[in-house]
Amino acid sequence: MNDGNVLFNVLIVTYLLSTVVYAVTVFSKKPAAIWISRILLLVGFHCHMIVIGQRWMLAGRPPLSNMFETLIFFSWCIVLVYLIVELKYKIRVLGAGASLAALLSLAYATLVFPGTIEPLMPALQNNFWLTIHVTLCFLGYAALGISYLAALIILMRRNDWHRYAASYAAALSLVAVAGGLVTVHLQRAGSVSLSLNAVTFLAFLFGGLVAGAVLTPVVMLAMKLIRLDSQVMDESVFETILYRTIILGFLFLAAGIVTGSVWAHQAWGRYWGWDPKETWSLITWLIYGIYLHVRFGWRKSGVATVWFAILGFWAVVFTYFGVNFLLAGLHSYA
Amino acid sequence: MKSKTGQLVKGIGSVKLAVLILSAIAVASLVGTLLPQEKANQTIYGAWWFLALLGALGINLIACTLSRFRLRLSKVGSIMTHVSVLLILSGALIDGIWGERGMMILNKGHSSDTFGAPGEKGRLPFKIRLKDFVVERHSSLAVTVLRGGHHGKTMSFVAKEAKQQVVTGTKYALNVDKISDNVTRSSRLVPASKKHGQTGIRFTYGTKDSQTESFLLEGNKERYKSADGLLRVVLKVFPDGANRDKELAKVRRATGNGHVEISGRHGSKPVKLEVRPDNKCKLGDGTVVEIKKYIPHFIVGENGARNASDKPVNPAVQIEISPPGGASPQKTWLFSKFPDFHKTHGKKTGLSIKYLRPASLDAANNLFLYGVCGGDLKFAMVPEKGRSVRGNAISGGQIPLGTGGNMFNLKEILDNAGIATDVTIAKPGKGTTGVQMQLLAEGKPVGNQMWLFDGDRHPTPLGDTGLSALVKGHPGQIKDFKSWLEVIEDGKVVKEKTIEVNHPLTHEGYAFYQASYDKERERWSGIEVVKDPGVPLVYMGFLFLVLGLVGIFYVQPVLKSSGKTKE
Repeated sequence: MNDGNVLFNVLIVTYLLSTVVYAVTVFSKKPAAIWISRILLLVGFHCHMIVIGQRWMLAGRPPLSNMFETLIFFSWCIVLVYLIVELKYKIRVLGAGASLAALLSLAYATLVFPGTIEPLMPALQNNFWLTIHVTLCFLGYAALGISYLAALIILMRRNDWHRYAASYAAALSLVAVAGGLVTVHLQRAGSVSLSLNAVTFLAFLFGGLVAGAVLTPVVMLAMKLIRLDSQVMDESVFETILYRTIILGFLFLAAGIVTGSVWAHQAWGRYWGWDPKETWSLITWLIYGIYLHVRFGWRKSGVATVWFAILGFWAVVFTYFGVNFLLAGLHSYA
Repeated sequence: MKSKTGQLVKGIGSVKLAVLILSAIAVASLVGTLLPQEKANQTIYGAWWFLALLGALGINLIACTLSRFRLRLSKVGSIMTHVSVLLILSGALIDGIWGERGMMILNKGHSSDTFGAPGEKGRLPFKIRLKDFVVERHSSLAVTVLRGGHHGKTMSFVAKEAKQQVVTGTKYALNVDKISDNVTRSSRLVPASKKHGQTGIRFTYGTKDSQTESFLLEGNKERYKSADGLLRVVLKVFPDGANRDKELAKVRRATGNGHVEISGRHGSKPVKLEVRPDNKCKLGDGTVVEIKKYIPHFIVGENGARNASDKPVNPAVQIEISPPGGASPQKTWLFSKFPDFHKTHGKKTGLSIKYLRPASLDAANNLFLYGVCGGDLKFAMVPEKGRSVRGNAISGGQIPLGTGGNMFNLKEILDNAGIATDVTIAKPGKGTTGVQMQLLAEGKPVGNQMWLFDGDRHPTPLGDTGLSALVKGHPGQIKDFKSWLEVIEDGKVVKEKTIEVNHPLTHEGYAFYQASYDKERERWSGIEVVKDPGVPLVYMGFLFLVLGLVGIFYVQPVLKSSGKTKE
């Protein structure tokens, strides 16, 4: 899947091109722009499916059992959910973000995690639950990822402080992704050797916050260049996409937690054990649950509710990555 | 509901309160994940205030459902979702009150009806016996194909029977025909071309009724020792007949018990000292080395070293080293089977001392087969007692052995022979893991099938393709652990099942999960005993939750819009 796999390289190049094309033609209604970007993403999507299929054949089990494999699957899920959103709502504004997210997810998979096929630990040897649980979770994560992009765009198109705050959030996301990649590479090359403790954690946190602040004007300039704040688009479409993707993600996450719970009961004899992965998935789900109650029960629809989507997706990322690297638990294998 | 109670219920079931409670649960859970698991379970997830929060959520849900949702088809999703959370919470409550949980550690063959930590032991209304326990390791094999031209360019795949794998970037493919965990390799003598062949013989040895066949090959396998230890055969090939006959004439029975070889401190010429009690020698620097004892079967018993038998199982020599200048002498043991023993375990004397013992000493009968290049073969049979016999060795002939009732039949002499390796499937648990593969080029087989073995260090070339392959298993990785459990009621086995992770045994409301095992000796199995009567409710809640959410988000809107169109 890594070395010498032509398809994989095609995949990377396609997502890169697609990011660029979507970015420079954000609000274009020209059929050429629409079709070029759509074809690029569709080609990537299908190559991606073949790459996953190949690994499935090689490993003889669904390729969903470690960071490398799930990141590649996550990337595919993002493209899938995005394509559905694009076709349903006929807007392409999220395309650049979605392509970039897919690309970065693939980059993380190949640059950070080993691609070797390892045998599975006993608890994971259940293809049925493995496939269902992981697929549901990652479809949910992907939908929530798209909602994150929609939330960022809603906030960045405004003219008040939300614009600056959202640009800062976007910059922080980029810093986190890039910082992770750079750190892993420096550590692997032996240039730095870090051990996880409070000091390095705080240093990274502080450094990240500062770097995010430095990058914020760049992000704002980039958004200006692609004319993201132009009034071409009806604002309500983004709102609709935001809550529709959150609803989808909320449903899939619920189903993911439920299936994980049933599986845990089969494997370990308990359906809930408050282990960090379980607890964080619950926290994430609660955040979106609160959003839905505020938005539809309480009927608040102000811009503040959009921040739930930002907060919620950070919780998703923490559930997926943070728990594995910062907190210990039964789920430490995936 | 316009009454005061109605207002109160509405207040308790308000969305604002729900948001508040959910937020509190989320924050408390978050704090819990920052604590060590045990502490979090005690101080947060098991604490009264956290349970009270969950209880408050339940009350809020009940109030909300009562006050706001009238039973209508368009509201069925919301009601189901809220009821689902109530079901899950009540299931958890039931488990908290009536549930039981604990570990049961069982040794192979033992039975028990108690579980859990001491002090709060749970008791089963029946007994559980661990009939057997096995740890299975992964036999999954990774095949790595190395490409000659590109250094380090490799690809690997998991071997699976009847699966074809394209070697990426080439026109070749590998088809895995067979995988076996218990193959044994055996070699046999086969005729070879003149260019590559060497002198080889096939023979049988044994009693009249049971003969075992074996072979010797020049330059490859020149020595043979029979399983009973009585016969030793040596094959040697000389450049010409004159040299051969001279050497053959010198062959005689080795006597004594070998000798001790002492190499000096500065690489001086080694001194040989025959193993005979009290035999001693003086080295150049004045050190005296003396043979104290010889024992053929050295073992360490309760009272130190002793001799166990007259057979040369572990021949050992005790020597005494007296340094020059009257320093106290040191005694040390030397072993012929562990020539490096003194080097690694001996006292630092600066001397390198080895006990060398000719192999021919330890066999009753020594047979020497000497040949010349491309010519005839002669033998010398040296028995333990009596005269040695010499003669010409011929295919199909028998060579008389001195002692014992055994026979030596020379089946065949091959001037040009080689070794062929046969692979056989042995009994389970014996042998190594191997993969039988066929190389394909554009779908057509190239060459013969070949076996690759787990543990081989050098890659096996795949024909003339420039590719080679290695097979590596993951024997250290646990695939599964299984416990064979029996349920015993009134002394009778009423149920039995082999449990493993993901497959528990259930009996009378109790479930038995494979949880852990004795990692050192694999003798005991850790079984988690669980009684959770709330699970059906929880599972029903799970089902309601997913169906309810689908109902709210994807069915209700449709119902609403169709209702509107009707209006």
